[in-house]
Amino acid sequence: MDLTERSENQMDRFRRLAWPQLAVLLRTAGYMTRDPNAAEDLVQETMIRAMNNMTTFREGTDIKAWLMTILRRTHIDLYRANRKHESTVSLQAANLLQIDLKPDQPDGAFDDKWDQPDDLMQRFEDQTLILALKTLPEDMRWALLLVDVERLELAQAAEVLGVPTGTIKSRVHRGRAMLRDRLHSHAESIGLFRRAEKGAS
Amino acid sequence: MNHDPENLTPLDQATAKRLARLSTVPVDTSALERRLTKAMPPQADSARTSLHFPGLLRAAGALAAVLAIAATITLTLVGGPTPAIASPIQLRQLHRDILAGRLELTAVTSIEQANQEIKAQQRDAPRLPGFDHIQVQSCCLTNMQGKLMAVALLDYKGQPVTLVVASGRDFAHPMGQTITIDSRTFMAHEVDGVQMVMGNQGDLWLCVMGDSSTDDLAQVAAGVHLVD
Repeated sequence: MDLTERSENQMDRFRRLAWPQLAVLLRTAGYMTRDPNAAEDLVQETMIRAMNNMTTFREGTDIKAWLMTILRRTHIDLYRANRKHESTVSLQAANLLQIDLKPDQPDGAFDDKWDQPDDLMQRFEDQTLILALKTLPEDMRWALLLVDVERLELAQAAEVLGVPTGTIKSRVHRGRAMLRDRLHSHAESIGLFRRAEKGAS
Repeated sequence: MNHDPENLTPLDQATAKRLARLSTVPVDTSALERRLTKAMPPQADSARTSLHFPGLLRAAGALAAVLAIAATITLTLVGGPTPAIASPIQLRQLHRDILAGRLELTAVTSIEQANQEIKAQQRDAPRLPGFDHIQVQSCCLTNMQGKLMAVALLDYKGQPVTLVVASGRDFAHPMGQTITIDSRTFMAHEVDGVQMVMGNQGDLWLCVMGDSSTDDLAQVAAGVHLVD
């Protein structure tokens, strides 16, 4: 333990290291739960656990990855007995997006329709993207949130989720494809792609 | 980008790039900060103080720390873990989820049947207490703050009332308005229109909540009796 660590008490370290990550945690929790109240409950419990375990955090390692690990475990603990929670989050989001969730459909089924992926992606508002994320299975959602949204390294994300790095790669790849499928279905339902094609012609 | 962009397809690159922008979406943390500030009182500054202990005083401090840790371990082994403070916000959400049909409940006609259903799901689940003249409609087993809870939906004076029961070792009620009925003390809380009354019955912690008045809910809580 170095002098800096010893000169601070647990609460001081918590405020210096963990508190600035509050927005990151609340944003991630918001993508994993059905409403803002549930997200706040989840982060509150996460932060209390983080503070109580602050002595186990080693300076120089990534505080965001450490907190994400606690967030995920807390999420599991809070919702383990409520099996309906995950499907509720997904179905609510799917209803708002006006799409049907088709589990039998192969991932990336509509990838050939994304001829200008960058342009098309930018057409989706943040809220639409968030809802589409919420329709994904939890494993895929966690992988995308950690790797693509919060930019954790693959190895870090693997540690947070307790799986091999290869599994994370696979989940991220599948998750992106599934996300595009959801966005495509939504775009079809509101005519976004058709308007884009007319605009282009 | 943590994936090697060279190895990504244009589709994956576009998707990852768009997802990365979500990290810039503003998040309002003000309400959560207020909640956390209330929930986390500052701790004693033991570590900083120990830096200024020279020689024997430092050794004494270390010994005290070892003794404190040993005492904590002993207390944990003898007395079990400290109960969590029940979250009225999470309880309110549970009640709302039940009324909105977002939580899967099993229809039952008696507390005995409810307890059988719950025990079938988890042998060591908490048992629901009994009531006089109150109809139980459905039940389920759920989890809050990492602890098991038995839940029953009751009909009291035509109003839906949610009863939540957990082990007294798992939960303690937060301080609130004190209500005393027949020498029994309960704590009343209200979150977004949902009234709740919490207390202990034997080794159980229970919460009765709904849109009914606090007096009605306290009457329900005071009327429970343990069932075999």
